[in-house]
Formats: sequence, structure tokens, C-alpha cells
Amino acid sequence: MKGVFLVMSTVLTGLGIFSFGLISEAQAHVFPVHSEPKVGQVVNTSPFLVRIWFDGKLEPAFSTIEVHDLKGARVDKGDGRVGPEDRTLLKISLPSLPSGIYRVFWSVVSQDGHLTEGDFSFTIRVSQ
Amino acid sequence: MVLHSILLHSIVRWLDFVGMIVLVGGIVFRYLVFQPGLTASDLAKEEMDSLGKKTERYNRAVIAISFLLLIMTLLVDFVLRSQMISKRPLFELPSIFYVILFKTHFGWVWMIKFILLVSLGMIGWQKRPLRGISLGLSGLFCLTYTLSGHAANRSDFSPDVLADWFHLLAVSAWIGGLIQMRLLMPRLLISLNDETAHRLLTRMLGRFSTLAGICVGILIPAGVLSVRLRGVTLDSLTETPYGRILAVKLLVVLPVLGLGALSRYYILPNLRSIKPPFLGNLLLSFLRNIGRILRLDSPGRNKRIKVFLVSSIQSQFFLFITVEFLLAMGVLLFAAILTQTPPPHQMGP
Repeated sequence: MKGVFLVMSTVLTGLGIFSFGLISEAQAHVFPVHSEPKVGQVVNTSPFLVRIWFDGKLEPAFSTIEVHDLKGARVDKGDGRVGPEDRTLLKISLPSLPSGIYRVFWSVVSQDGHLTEGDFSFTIRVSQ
Repeated sequence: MVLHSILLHSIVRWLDFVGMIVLVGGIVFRYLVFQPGLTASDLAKEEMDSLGKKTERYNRAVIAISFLLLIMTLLVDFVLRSQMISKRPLFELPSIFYVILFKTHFGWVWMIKFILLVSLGMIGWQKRPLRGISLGLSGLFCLTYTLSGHAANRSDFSPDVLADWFHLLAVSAWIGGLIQMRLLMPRLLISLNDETAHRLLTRMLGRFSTLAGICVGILIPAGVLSVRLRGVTLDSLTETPYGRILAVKLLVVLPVLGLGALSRYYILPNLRSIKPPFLGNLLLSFLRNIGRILRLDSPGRNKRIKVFLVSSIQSQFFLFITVEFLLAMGVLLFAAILTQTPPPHQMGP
């Protein structure tokens, strides 16, 4: 019986190690489904809001969003929050912004307690 | 989350699963298999009293060990999860414990889980059996695992949660019962004479097989539904990390199911009829012939052969169940790794 224990434990440990090898480095448990403005979108007017919808509910206390310009300066109004009416929506207000490339940084915690982070850019090209 | 962190979270979650399954499965086994099986048995009153006392001691030990394991994993999981959520170093964590406990879904579920665990521990320690309450609290305790996992990301009242909960309930009752069959039964059988031990084992295995059959009937459709709702397709079984780990888990599940079927359709009928199993037939024929050749025929020969056969069937049963138990521990390990791995999703905004 001891032999059985030993062989089985070795096989299972090997399979377990193999499984850890199957996991890639970056892990996350809720993902963005879509956003406004979209990733890489060029818009003609400065948007009032940046909104990102996720595929799961978010924890408001630990979910953040910021918008920066190319120099790294923060340009949003600092009111980033999870939409109270829709717990899958993360949004932040923007002042009227000049033409340029802007980067949105987001960090959210899902209901299962896992953290996801990411960023994307959009461009404002105000027509003359 | 980096690999060493996933490893740590997975090991803690695995120990958590083992503790939960020992506790919940032990309660289910006690109230749905052992006690009714013992009551319906034809054992003498003294034998039943003696078995009752032994079982009581054993149950208390199981509750104490699983309770300590669960308390430990619950606390470690809380610290690890707090660190992951807040991205703060360990020494700064106490300052945000309040926010995590009272302002996050995870925190509320964690507190409910803690209360349920303490309640289960206290009720389990009582000598007076509280069947309905224990089974009900065990079910709710399993639900807290579902509500702090992938299934609850969409909503607490979604088909994902229901499917995951049923899957977990069935696995706990089956694997937990299996552990009891492996650990408790030999302790009880050793104190009985061969014939009584054989009758008791046959009765308990019969009841446990029925329970296990019902559990498998629930866990397979619930598991399939659960992974389908998480976006797992046949393609994703090879293309995504979640799918690949799930595929390995399924590969380990198959022999567990096979061994379960072997116990149900091979060992149990043989125990009931005391028929020799495959090689046993040859062995029986050999024993009869050697007896005749060596003139060892004696009045007690048939009885001795019967005892030998029963003990060989029992040995096979305990060997199968040991392998099944070890494989089940492996399944739990893969289930724990899956809780730390994102299911397949539609990526990108």
C-alpha cells in the first residue's frame, strides 16, 4: 500500500508542476469587454467621459481609472468610479481636452477578489 | 499575478478544499451513510454501542483536524487576497482589513464563511446528532466557496453560481465520503469478527455507492454547465491556460470515475455474493485442488476459503479506494489551480 501511495503522489506532484507551467505570467479574472472611446480610436471632439465595461462585477473600493496625456500628466477630473447603477462599468469624467494622444490606465478588482490592470490609448483630433 | 504567487494561492486553496471536503463530506457520510447503515444493521447492541463510541471519537478528531486546517487556510487566504487586492506590503495590510471585510463582496463572503465554519465546528462537537442543521449549514458552507470564486463574478444569483454550487456539493459528498470509507471503516472492521465485519462493510459500501452514484449524476452535468458558462469550448481546452489545466484535471477525473464504477459494479456484487473476483476464481480452483491433492480436506476448509476470499475482496476494495482517494486529491489540486486561472474570455475593448 505504501508503494501505491509513493507512486501516485509522485505522478500527481508531477502533473501539478506541469499544470503550473501551463499558466502564463499575467493573470486576471475580469476583462474589459468594450470601452468609449474605443482602443486606439480617433475622435473629433473631446469626450466628456471615458467608460470601460467589464465582463464581471467590480469592487468599487479597489477599482481605479486615470487618464494621462503623453507627457504623463493626469488630465481627468479625478472622479473615477464604478458606475453605481452598473457594477460592470468603470468611468471617469474629462474636462475639454486639446488635440493629442491620451492614455487610460485602469485597475479593477473582481468579485472573486482578483486584480486586473491594463491601459489603452485614444486620440483627440479637434477639427479646425 | 506572478507564478510564485499563483503557486502559493493555489496551495492554500488546495488545503482549503481538502479541509472543506473532509468536514462537509464527513458530515454527509455520518448522517446519510453511516448512521442509517448502522441502525439498519443486525449487529448486537453491545457491538453497536462499541462502534458508536469509536465513531464518536473518530468524528471528533475529523472535525478538530478539518476545523484547524480550515481556520488556518481561511486566515492565510484573507491575508493573501488582501495583499493582492490592495497591492500593499504585508505590514500595511491591517490598516485596510476593515475596508476589505466590510466594503468588498469577498470580505462579506469571508465573514459568513468564518461564522458558518465556527457553527459547524460547534455543532459537530455536540454528542447529540443535529442532522438537519448540520447538513443545511454544510450546504451553505459550500456556497461560500462558490460565492468567492469565478462563478460569482457576474452575479450572486446566476446560473453559474447554481451550477458551481451543485458541482461542489456533489464533489464534497462523494470525495468526503470516500475519505471516510478509507479511514473510518478499517478502524471499525478490525474490532469485529470476520463475518460481522463483512456484513457491515457490504452494507456501508452499498449505501455509499448509492450516494456516490447520485453525486456523480449531479457533478458531471453541473460541471459541464459550469465550464460552458465560463466560455470553455473544446478548442479552448488546448488553446487557453484555463482549458489546458481543465483538460489535465479531466484526465485525472476519468480514472477516479472508473475506480468508483469498479467499486460499485465489481467489488460490491462480489462482497454481497462472496464470489471470488477474476484471479480469485483461479486461486479458488487451485486451493480446492491442492487441498484434494494434499488431502487437506477438513470440516472447516470451506469456511477458511470463504474467509480468505472475503479478505481478498476487502483488500482489493481498500486498494482501489486508496488509489481513488489519492487521485481525488490530485483533482482537488487542479481545481485549486483553476481558481487562480482566468477562464477563457472575449478579450479587449
